[in-house]
Amino acid sequence: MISEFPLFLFTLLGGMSAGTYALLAVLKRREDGDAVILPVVALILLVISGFALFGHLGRPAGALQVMGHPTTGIGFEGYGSLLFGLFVLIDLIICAAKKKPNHVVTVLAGIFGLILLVAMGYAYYEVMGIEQWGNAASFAMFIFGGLALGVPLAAFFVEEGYGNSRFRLVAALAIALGVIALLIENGVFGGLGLSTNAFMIGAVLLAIAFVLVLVNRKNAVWITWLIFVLVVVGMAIARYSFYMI
Amino acid sequence: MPVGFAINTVNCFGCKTCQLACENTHLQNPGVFMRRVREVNATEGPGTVFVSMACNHCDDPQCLKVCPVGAYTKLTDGTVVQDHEKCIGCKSCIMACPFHAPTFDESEGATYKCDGCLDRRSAGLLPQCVISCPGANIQFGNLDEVAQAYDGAESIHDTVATGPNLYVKHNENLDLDDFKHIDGRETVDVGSVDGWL
Repeated sequence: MISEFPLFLFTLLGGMSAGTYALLAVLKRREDGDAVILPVVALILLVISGFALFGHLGRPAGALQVMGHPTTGIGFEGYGSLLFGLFVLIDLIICAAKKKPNHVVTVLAGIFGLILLVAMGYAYYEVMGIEQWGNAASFAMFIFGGLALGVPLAAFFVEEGYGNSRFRLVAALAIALGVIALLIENGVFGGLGLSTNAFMIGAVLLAIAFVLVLVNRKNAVWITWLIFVLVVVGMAIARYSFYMI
Repeated sequence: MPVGFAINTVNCFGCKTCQLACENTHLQNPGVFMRRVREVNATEGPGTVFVSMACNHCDDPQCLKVCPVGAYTKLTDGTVVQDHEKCIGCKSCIMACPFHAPTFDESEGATYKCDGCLDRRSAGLLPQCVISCPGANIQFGNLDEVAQAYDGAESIHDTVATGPNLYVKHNENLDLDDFKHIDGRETVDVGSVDGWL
């Protein structure tokens, strides 16, 4: 197992949670289902990723000290997670009370979700000692990658899912950005003489998901789940390789 | 003028006395080294070159920049020191340092980093690695002084963006850019070190 497995979990699950809200900020959320499911799922992902982040620390008890240094990568991620989590919690409370989501709250959660993705990218961009991380490609990896990860989850919470042409467009764009991010990392790692197989595998799986998004006009359940698996597995393989230092 | 180390790689034969002396002086846990002797192997050309390296007390220390708990400070003499009690073991400093100079103690869950034996220097003594090297191949002090320690020693200050304060004596064909490749690995392969030996 990779030594930074906690970071892998943090960016994968936290990124999925943040990416989902970032996408839903520009879409119309379903109001016919149980509205609380989305914030509950997002919070579960965020809590698991948060505990994973504690696992990254040798002395977890001192984690709160990080909040005194918001300009550092971990501090930025900490504040990003807290603020994003706060708005997801507000969304949960509103959904529980009014039985439907509030769009302004969704947009605010989406904005802070995007900020969390930027924080993740920044945390690796500033790592000068690891050449394959300390460059602008890390922003693409975590911002575009997070948005791509948000697609399969967001599909369950948008009116008509992939049957919604606006969502299909947004989803296809987000997954395309995910493919671009993996190809950029492929170039960065390859340029340093490191293995790029995982990025290519991830890019191919996401490219298949991209095609399925475009053809899933009838929002077939099996295609929706297939897209879910392809995007999550594809991004997980690529991220796992990213952390193999 | 800030402080820093000078090393003589021409005469170093890799005995690692400096590494062990540093460990025995400062740390209790075996295998946790603030100074490490890296083996630099040529993929073209002969042999292995030994590079003894600890913290280079950079002008722009990345450990200080990225530490999320503010455990690092740079003293007026240029020494970069860590407040070990503040360390939460996130390893950000190790990953950010181009040379991976800080070292992680698994048993303690925290990171240690060379401070140039600040306690010994306060008592008027030289750092332990300096006095322990049987070949006198390590020097520490103000850079203008250590720069003169070995004939022909060159600074690697401008080869890495952090501005490391380290002078190196090497054979004439050594490319200082090879120091960019000296990171956390114990053994480093570089393209060609013809003339190192």
